[in-house]
Amino acid sequence: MKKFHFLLGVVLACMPGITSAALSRQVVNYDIHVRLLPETKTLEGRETLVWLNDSNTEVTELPFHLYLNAFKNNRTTFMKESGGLSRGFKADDANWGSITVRSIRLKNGPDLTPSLAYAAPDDGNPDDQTIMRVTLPAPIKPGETTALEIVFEAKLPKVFARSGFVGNFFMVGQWFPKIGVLRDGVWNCHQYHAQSEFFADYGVFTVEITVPEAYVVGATGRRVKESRNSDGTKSLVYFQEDVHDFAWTTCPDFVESRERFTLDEPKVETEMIFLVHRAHLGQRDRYVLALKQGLEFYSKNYGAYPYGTITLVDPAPGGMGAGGMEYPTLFTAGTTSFLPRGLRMPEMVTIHEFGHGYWYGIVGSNEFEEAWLDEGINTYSEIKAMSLYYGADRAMIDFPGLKIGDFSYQRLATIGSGRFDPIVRESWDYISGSSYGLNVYSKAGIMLLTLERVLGEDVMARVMRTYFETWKFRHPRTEDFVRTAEETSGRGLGWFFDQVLHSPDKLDYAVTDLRSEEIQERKGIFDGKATAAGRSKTETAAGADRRTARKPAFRNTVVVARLGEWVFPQEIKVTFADGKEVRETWDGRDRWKKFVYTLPVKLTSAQVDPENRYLLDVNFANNSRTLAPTPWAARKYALGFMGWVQHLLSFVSL
Amino acid sequence: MTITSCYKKGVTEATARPNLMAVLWLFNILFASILYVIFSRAFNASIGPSLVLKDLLKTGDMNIILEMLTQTAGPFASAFRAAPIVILLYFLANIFLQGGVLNVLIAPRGREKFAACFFGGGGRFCGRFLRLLIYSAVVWVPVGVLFVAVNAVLRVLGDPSRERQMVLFVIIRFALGLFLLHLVKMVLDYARIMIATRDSRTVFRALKDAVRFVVRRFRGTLGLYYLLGLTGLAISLTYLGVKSLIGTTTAAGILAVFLITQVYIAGRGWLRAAYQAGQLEMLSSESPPQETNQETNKGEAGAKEETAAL
Repeated sequence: MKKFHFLLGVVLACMPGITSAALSRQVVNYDIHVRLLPETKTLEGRETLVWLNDSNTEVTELPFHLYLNAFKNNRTTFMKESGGLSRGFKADDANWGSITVRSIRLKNGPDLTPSLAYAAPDDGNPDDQTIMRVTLPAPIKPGETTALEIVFEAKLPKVFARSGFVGNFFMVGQWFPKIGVLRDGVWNCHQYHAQSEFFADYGVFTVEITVPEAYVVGATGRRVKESRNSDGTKSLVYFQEDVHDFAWTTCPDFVESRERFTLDEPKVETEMIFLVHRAHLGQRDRYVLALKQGLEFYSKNYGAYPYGTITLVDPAPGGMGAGGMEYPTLFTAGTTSFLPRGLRMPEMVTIHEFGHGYWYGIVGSNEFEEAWLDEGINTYSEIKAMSLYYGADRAMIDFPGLKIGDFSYQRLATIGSGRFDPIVRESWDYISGSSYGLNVYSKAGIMLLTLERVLGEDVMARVMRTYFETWKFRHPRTEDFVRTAEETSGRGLGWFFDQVLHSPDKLDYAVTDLRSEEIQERKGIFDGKATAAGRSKTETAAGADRRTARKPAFRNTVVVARLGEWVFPQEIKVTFADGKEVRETWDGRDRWKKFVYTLPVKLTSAQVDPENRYLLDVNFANNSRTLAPTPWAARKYALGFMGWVQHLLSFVSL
Repeated sequence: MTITSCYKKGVTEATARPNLMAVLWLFNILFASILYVIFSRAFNASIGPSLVLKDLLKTGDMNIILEMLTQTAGPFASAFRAAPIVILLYFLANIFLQGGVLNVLIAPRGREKFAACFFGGGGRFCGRFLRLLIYSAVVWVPVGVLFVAVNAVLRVLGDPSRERQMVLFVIIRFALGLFLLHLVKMVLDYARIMIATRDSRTVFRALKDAVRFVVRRFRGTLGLYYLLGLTGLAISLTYLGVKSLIGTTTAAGILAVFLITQVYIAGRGWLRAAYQAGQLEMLSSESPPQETNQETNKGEAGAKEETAAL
């Protein structure tokens, strides 16, 4: 082992772009040997972990994630929460997954296996074994490192939620005993939940993977060694620094291709590796283009992509349960053989999952506790990238007569996100899986687009770059993002973030009433004066003549109302018949506000938030009202609807 | 009688009877208008006074359309709820129309006033065609069983990891479903023609005869059916092509598309008449003419005797 490490060190030192000064605080150093047995869908692994106590606290026990145990039976927390369903894919009762730690010991020290115990800190579920703890014979002091040797076996489930197999395709993610994160002297190590992803410390991974010779392999990092074994297998060694996880995949039907990606400003040089299933080769060019776009967009807007490789994995047919998932320097996309080009799911998924490499990979967000820092920021980035490269109004669906942009798609989800959950909440605490998704992805993404319009595009770009630069290879919290936004923009944004991040309510302002009434001649009894009703006919006629002669006056009334709970300062644009415009401001606090104008001209329209800055507003249509509506728009859609009905009736009468 | 001569006859007969096309179009638009009114009111109630209407007229902003469907689903729901009821009512009315169309086609041209002939035929055959619809279950059920069986076989053979095969199976399912649907529809067409030409009340017998006829003249009946189907496809493509050339951002454009749609719907009526006329021709080329005349005056009892004699 030592000889191998020495040789590996020499090899790495000779390969430019692989070793450099550490970018992260390297808390963990994993050295894993794993063998895949395709017939039994099992893994045999040996892991050496060197862990640094980077806190000010002595540590007496070590918790580990055993994520694969989420698929061990139908009583685990993951299975109970998900009902065995993930993103529409169903667990297979005949193919459970699990991981068993055969032994764990301190290197050159005592066996810790007898102290191994399972824990369920989130829900106390006794059937959940996704966390194990071992007790140390002596505390690890701050600044000290300790080395552990772990022997484990894992059985992969039939894939329905990220990890597993289908046929001869294997997606091996969250597969090895992974230590928790010691944060502020407290272990942050959550169970595997249906609605949460992951969190881990940065470090170095060296992984030797042994598979049958015919299998094509892709993994986190760069392949630094490959050798053939006498038993018909091959072993491949992968190495990567400054990442917090390691995933790999293998399938004999992958077609591997590589392409260099370079960018001058900022300086980026990386190798794109595509593992596309044979059945989907016709879609390969879509992946290539989208990944190039992702690399360009994220590098230019947030910071240079820092790793030497990026691997795109196209799951095998039937393996879409593994699709659309991010791991450091590797992600899974997904497509089908005949997917029309007008449906841009492969492009969107590629850009989105690559983007996670920034907001989960490089910026180490805690997806258990504040998933929006990854998913929400990434959805915001994805909308911008998709709109830039594919058109704001057609980024998702682009067929003649039907075009839908990414923003519209995400906004629709925001409208449907309910009033149950805020954006910031522990991932497993949302009322439902859909509430988690709609809030953490879509609402958070639209929230950031709204912030962009509040701050201005340039300022927002600075906020995002500063946040990335400040928090890359670290673990930020929500307040760190808020602070970065406030400091960079120089504005107090508590009014914004307090509402949108922590309250489950909605934003909806509306023009609820609009009228323009001609002011009547005085009628009735007024003290000390005769009135029109008491006048003689002649006088009345004379009065009528006077009315005709003078210009009429109008009492123009605009009522704007706050229909949602969130309070946002508003601007109101009022337009009159002579073309003049009046801009009003309103702090938006009261439930309604009335504006009255007595003028010789009629009011024609009023619009709250006329520049559409607040994209979180769930009803754009009620933001404006006019006294001169366009009847042909309604007719256009009603006649269009009638046309469809007529076609249907023709079909019925066949 | 060749397929092409039946086709020509069908097209000629349908073209010679513009009233038929007009009345079919009129029924269509009358029923559709109910939903127009409901939809129009719902639309105006939800965003009628909003400035976004201007954008909707110009661009068809998906943000607003999707928002309407989610935020203001209430008023729209009434239109979508009413749609199946209107369609069902039209389906029932269509049974009446089928009798009218056939009566006009079998009546010597110009001898009877169109309205009397059409509505008289509709009334006369309505009950029989309704019974035919019920009896048609004996055709639908085996066809359905066949479809389900083929589906089951494909499900067993299908391997989700072989995507191209799965796509092919979907296409096979779809094509088979369409083929069987139209096959039964064609059988029912001939059954209706037999009922109308014989003025027969023995509906079930007509259905049996129609099945026999289609089986015996499978190539001819199917050829005629799909030749007319191709004509329909050509009409539809022409309609879509012309429609796509017209922008609907102005009142004139909207009106033009509306009018073109109405011409197309009338064209569908014409095609329907052409189908029936062509199939009538196909059937008459085989049926001994005296059978029709004999049965016309016999009624139910006479038909039973004839069945026994056969």
